[in-house]
Order: sequence, then structure tokens, then C-alpha cells
Amino acid sequence: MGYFLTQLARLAENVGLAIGSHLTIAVGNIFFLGGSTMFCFGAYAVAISQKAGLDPWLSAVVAVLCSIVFSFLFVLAYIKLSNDSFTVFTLSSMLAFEALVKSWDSVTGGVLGIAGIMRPEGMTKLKELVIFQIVIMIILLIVEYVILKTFIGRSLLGMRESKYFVESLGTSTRLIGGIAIVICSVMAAIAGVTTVWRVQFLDASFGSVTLLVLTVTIAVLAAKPKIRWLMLSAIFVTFLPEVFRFLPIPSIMIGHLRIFMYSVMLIIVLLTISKKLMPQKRFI
Amino acid sequence: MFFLQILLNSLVVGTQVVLLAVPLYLVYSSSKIFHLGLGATGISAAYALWYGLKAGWSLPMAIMVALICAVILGTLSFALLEKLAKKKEHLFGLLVSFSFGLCLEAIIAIIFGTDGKFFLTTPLPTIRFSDLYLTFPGIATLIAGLILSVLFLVVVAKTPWGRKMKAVSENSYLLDSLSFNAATVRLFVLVVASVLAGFVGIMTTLNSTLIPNAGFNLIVLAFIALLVGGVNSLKGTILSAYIVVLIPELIVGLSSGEYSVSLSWKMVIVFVVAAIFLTWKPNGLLTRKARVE
Amino acid sequence: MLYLLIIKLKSMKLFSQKSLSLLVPVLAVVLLLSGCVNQVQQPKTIETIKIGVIAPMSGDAAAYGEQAQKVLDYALPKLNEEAAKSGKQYQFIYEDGKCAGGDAVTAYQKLTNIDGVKFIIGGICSSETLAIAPLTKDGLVLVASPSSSNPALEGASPYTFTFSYSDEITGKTLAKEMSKYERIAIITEQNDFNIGIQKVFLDELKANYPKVTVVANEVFPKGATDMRSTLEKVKKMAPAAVLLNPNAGTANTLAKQMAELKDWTVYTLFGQYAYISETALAAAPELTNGMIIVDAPKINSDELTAIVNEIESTKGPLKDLGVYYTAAYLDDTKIITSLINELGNDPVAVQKALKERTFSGYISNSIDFRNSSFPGVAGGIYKVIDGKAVYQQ
Repeated sequence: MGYFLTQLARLAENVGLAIGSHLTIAVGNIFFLGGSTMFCFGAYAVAISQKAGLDPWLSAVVAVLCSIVFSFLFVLAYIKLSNDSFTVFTLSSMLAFEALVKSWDSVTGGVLGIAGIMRPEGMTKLKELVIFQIVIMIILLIVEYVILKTFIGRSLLGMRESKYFVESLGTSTRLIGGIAIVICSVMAAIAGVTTVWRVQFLDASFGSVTLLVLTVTIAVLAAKPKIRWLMLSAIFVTFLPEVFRFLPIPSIMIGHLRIFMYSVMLIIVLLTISKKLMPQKRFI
Repeated sequence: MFFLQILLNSLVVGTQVVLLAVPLYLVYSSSKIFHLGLGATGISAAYALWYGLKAGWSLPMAIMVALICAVILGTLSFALLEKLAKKKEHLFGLLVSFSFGLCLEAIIAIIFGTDGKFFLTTPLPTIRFSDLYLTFPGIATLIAGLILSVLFLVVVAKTPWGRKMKAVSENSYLLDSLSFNAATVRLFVLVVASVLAGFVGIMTTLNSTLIPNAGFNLIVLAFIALLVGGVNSLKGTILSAYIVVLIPELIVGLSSGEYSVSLSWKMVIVFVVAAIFLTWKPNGLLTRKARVE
Repeated sequence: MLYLLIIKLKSMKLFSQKSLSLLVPVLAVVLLLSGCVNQVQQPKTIETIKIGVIAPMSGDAAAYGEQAQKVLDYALPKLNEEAAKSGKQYQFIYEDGKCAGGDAVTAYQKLTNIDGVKFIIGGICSSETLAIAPLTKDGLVLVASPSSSNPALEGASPYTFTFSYSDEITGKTLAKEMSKYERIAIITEQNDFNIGIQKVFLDELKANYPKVTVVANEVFPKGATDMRSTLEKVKKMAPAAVLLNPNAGTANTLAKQMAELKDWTVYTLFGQYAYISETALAAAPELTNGMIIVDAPKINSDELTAIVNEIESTKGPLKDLGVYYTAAYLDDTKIITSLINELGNDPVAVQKALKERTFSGYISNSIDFRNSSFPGVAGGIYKVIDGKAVYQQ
């Protein structure tokens, strides 16, 4: 039972993490690759707050507030840099954050990590926590649905078509982009908080290149700005590699095969559905 | 002397980044795509060379195999990226190249395992100048870096080929109308970039250890160098590669005592340095202000 | 099932024809790589007991996982020969812990809930074992790691044991040996094992040897390939003794790059487990000659030597795992399976036996868990003479 609950939990976490990326990458064409950084940030914020003596619920609130503040660093980068620069900047933030948490061991525990992270009252059992995670996932999906129907969502879709057109209508693309990045960061941080409650152990390997590829794969595979596409994409990407566990593949190969599979999936999807994501360009 | 030695070591590392930033620049110039898979391409060529030497082949034969490996991977990159370059879907190109790099690393890990391999099992031979020393691969890297940097600066700025390369990314249809095949230009650039990356991969791992993901950190540094220097300026790219590497290396190397900064902080310092430079000069060190798209 | 899934997805128009046609061959290749399933038919009277193994099968520590599997694959037929007398048979089920807490927890959940294992050999890395230890507190599963050495494991769970000597022993012994020098330096790889030793070492120096000054305490990233700047820094501080504290994978590189600093010779070199093997010492024989190494006590067992040689000749080298951890794997599996043979597939009964008895094995004649999660193995001091680590005490 625990295994299936764990897989459900992973699905909820991946959806939470991918919603933000879906909003920025698939909907707004803002190639923000800092989702896994914020996922780690949220996890570390909650763990460090608990270490400092805060109650689990309060530490989660602190983590979310800190992630909002930290996400402004990415918003500043978004405003200042070109698209390409911003993408690589956010990609390298993952490496920098990993180096920071490994080296700042007085606060983060370094490579030894932080053990014994407590779950809140009423969620000490895995089943209860998974139910909570699913509820959070549904809430975040509703939030994205609402955002897509509002002015922000329409502006993001417009930005994908033509930034200058949106600007000409008096909407600040920087503001809309910034809001999308903050939302993505907060959602990723929330996913990080619930994940660390489930695992109850945190070290620098929490976020990784694999997580980044997984998130981007879900976001890009979802293609259209529709919630059901995101859910299906998350289910596909989360559960397909688990099939390997039950196949008689040498265990030495499984981890590498998983990364290989994610990468190939991403390449195939990007090459075949890119035209569905990008508007038809007029060549002069 | 201590300062000079740290500087010399940093220059070798910086040159490794330059030698990877140059092919990155070339690919970007011709297709406007950041080819994040070049690091893994370089390491793949290094593994091909290692395998050849381990199998007992002669050095020229093993080098040929490594070269063929680089050419094949360059051609494969072209097959993956050409469509996206033609449609000007640059950011998808970045994601595809990134995934391509991960694929290569996974394949290498499956075939060769993840333990470190060595070209030489003994300490590297060194050359000493008074109290300073450099390894032979380090010297080769510095010399190659100098020659290739000058060569490509001249080629890109002064030759018809360099002009064609930049023209392809601006307006490939116009170039086609002048009876130059844009696809051929991009293929040639990708193959040259892959071969250069292979050379860097071999030089870097000759100087240290061969592991499947050795290329990833190097390519990220090269990218940061390209962005800080300006994506349209090879001079800026070369200069910023040294800045982005030298500053953290000098901070780590020269700090001591209570305020000693360990090598483990290097990526954090690189990130902060890049953030400062990009905030100060978002379009690059040596570029003029332009409309940012 | 996969085919039906693809048909379903096609009908939902989630993927285009083209992308599906590309996905299917890729999935087919992946499945082909899995090889043939070889189901062994079991006679009905033999009880098959599954034992889970959590080890890093991918990532930076994959070499340890691969070599651990070689040792276990070697040991399994002998264990089954013994178990057949009690009407039992063992099957190892491997899961990839990736040397990371989160993945180890997922692996644990899969082993316990899907495969129904009650005993787990692993993790290899301390981070894996530390993450799964709290999950064993209810007594439904017993975890016996052969190689996790972090002192935090002590008392982490009554159902978690390790056959490794503690980092505390290594750190304290190193501190004692290096306390003879006034100025010392330590170069550490940023890895849970090495940082664990570094912490104990520095705490021990501070507490018991205040006259010793640590003139350089450098840390390099895990798996780093160029440590020359770090070495220059340490050289500049002119320590009288230097402790090299890398992981086995980086030990060669660190030794070789240190040997390139030919004019730096006035110091005594110290090391730990990473330098016990001849391969690591052969990387820079002039440098490492005279090096003092603190590791597990020497295992004088012709039987073990023969076993290691046999495994290496049939399955490949065990250079990363080393003699001690090979012995730890053999002892771990032998003791746990012998207790299961005697007491049944019952973690509570086996835990009680571990806490009440002492055992004999390759790692020690007195493996004693009565008052600790560790087996009570002391450290050993070696000196490198002519490229070999010679046991001193």
C-alpha cells in the first residue's frame, strides 16, 4: 500500500512542480528553468525553520513567504536579461544553489543533510499526508485554471503570440511575466515543502538535473494551456519510468535508462509538437 | 610566486572554458541556438579516444576514432537542430540540445560506467619555470587556446566564411538566394564545433579525470561566459570566459585563514559574478545597447 | 498493456501520429535492453524469502553499487546451500538508492510494499540509510547496512544496523595520530562520508588537542577533477602534516595532482580508506610512500583473500569496495540469513538476536551490536611501504 501511496504522492508533487513551469514555458513562452531551484529552496526553508524551533505549519508558511521574496531575484533577471540569457541564468541557478547548500553546512547540514523533519499534526501517517498532497494538487490546478481564465492568463497567451502586440495594448509584459515567475516559484516551493514532509530527510541531492528535465518534460508535453493535458502529461511522465522497476533490467542500467528515456521523450516531443506551441511565424 | 601559480592554474581552466565557448559562439552565430550538448559531445570524443588507447590501438588510430565520433555527433546535432534553427525556434533548440547532452551522458554511463578513467595512471609530466610549473596538457591547452582564439577571431571577422556564418542566422533565405546553402553552412559549423569540443574534452580530461558528466559544468561555464561577453561578440566571449573563471579561482586560491573560501563555493561565486555583470551589462561586455527580443 | 495505452493515447489525440511513431521504437529499444526474463521454477516445499538490497546503481557512487552486486551474486548460491537445510531459499531484489535519501525512501517503499521484503541489505551511502532508518522504527522491517558509517546512525532506529566501523573511530584515530604535529591541514571531498570524518576529526582536535593548529581546512566539490588551486593554497600554509580525505573515486586524481607539486616535500601525509588499495597508492608512489592510513583493522583471512580473488577473476574488480567492505557484505548477508534460517522471516526475532548475541565473521571475531548500531570494530593504522599499506596496529 505504501508504494502506491508514495507514487500518488510523487504524482501530486510533480504536478505541483510542473504547474508553474506549464504556466511559464507552455503558456507564456517564458523559459524559466528555476523551478527545481525553488523546489529545493522551499524544502530547505521548511527544514531550516523547523530546526530553528518552528512548528511544521508555521515553517511551511515561512517557506512560502521566503520563496516569494527569493523569486524576485528571478523576476529581476527576467526584466534585465534577454530570453536566452534568462534561460541559462535560471539553469545555472540550480548548480549555484546546490553548491550553496552543500557548502553552507552550519545552516543546511551540508552534504549530511537534515534528518528527522517532522510532519504536521494530523498528517503523521503517509496516507493522511498523501490525501493532503492530493488536495493541494487540486487546489493548485484550480488556481492555474482560474489564472488562465483571467487577465493574467490571457496576457500570457498573448505574450506567446507577440510581446509587442500585448505591450501596444497597454499591458506590461514585464509585470505579467514577473507575476508568472512568482506563481511558478511559489508552486514549486509548495511542492518542495510537501515532498520533504513525505521523505522527512533532506540533503543537497534533493533537486537535480533529472528533476529539472522531468518538470520541463511535463510542461512541454502538456503543450496546450489546458489542465487535463497537464494532468495526463504528469501521469505519463511520473509513472512510465516506474515500469522499469518491474522489468528484468539490470539495476545498474535503470537509473541511467530513466534519464535517457526522459531526454529522448523531451527531444521527440519538442521536435514534433513545437509547431503546436509556437504560433506560425511570418517570414519576410 | 604563489599568486602567479594560482593565476597560471586559473588561466588553464579559463582557456578550457574559452575553447568551449568559441564553438558555442560559432553555433549560436549560425543558428541562434545555444548548443548545450557540446560538453557531452566533447566528453564522448574523449571516451572514444580512451577506449581506443585501452584497446591497444595506435595513437593516430585512436585520435581518428575520436575525430569520427565528434563528426558523427556533430551530424546528429545538425539533424536534431536544423529544423528548429530554420523555424527560428531557438529556445526549443536549447532544450533539445540540453536533452541531447543528457542522452549522451546516460549512454556513456551505461557503456563505460561512472567510475573515473585516466589516460595516464601516473602524475602528469610538468614543465617548470623557476618556481612555477605547468603540466604538459595545461601548456597544450594554453597554446591551443591562444592559436584558436586568434584564428577564429580572424576567420569570423575578416573572412567570407565568417560573414556567411553570421548571415545564415540573420536571413537564411537571402543567403540561399545568393546560391549559398544555409543548411550546409550550419552543418559545417556544427561539425567544426563538435570537433573543437572533442579537442577540449580530451585536453580537459587529460589534465584531470574522465567521468560521464565532466562536460556539464564546463558547458554551463562556457554559456555564462558567452552571455556575459555578449552573444554577438567573439572578443567579448573570450574575455568574459577568463573573467568568469579567474575571479572565482582567484578568490578561492588567494583567500586564507579565517576567511578562506573553499573550492566548493566556486559555482556560487561564478553565479554571483555572472549576475553582477549581466545586471550591469545585460547585452554583454563588448556589445552596444540593442533592442532586446 | 503498453500497446493498449498507446492506442488509448492516440484516440485522445494527446500525441500526433508522428510523435507516437517515434516514441514506440524508443520504448521498444528500452524494453529490448531489459533482456530475457529467466524465471527459476521453485520446488513447492522451499520457502523463497526475498531480501531487498538498496545500493546506488546510478550516479556518482554507482561503482560501489555495481561491485556490491558482484559480491552478493557470488554469495547467494552459498547462502542458499545453507538455507536449503531449513527449507528456505533467498532471492535478492535490487533497488537503486542513487546515494540519495529521497530515492532510498522510494526504493524502500517499493521493496517493502510491493515485494514484501522484511529485511534490507543497505544502503551503501550513509544518506540512504539515514533516510530509511526512521521508517523501520515500527519493527516491520530490519535494515542492515554493510557500509554506512555516519555517526548519526547510532540509535537512529532499533531496527537499523551497520557492519561498517563508524566515522567517529576513523576521525578520532586520525586526530590522535596527527596530534603530534603543531600545524596540520586537511583536504576533504564534499561527500557525506568524507565530511563525516572531517567533522569528527576537527571536533576531536578542538576538544582534546588544543595545541594543534589547523592551518588549512579545504573542501572541494564531489567528483571534482582539478584541485590544483586548493593544493597550492595548502602548500602555501606550510603544514607539517596533511590529511587527504577524498572519496575512493577521487583519491587517484588528488594524489597525482599533489605529486605534480614536486618542490613540496616537507610534510607527513595521512589518509583514510580511499588510500588503502594499491591502485590508489600506485597513482603517485613517491608521494604516498610513508603515508599513514587509518582504516578498518587488517583482515587476516586466507579464506577471504581467496573469495576476493575468485570474485575479481569471475565478475570483475572490487577496487572501490575494498577488502573490508567486501567482508562486511559477506558477514552482513551470512549473519542475517543464518538468523532467518533459525528464527524465521521475523524482523523482531532477528533484531532481538542481534541485540543479545555476538557473532564471528571476517570483519571481526566479535561482531557486537548489544550496545550499539555499529559492530564494535576498531580502527587500524597502516603505513605505506613500497606501494603497499602495511598494517601497524
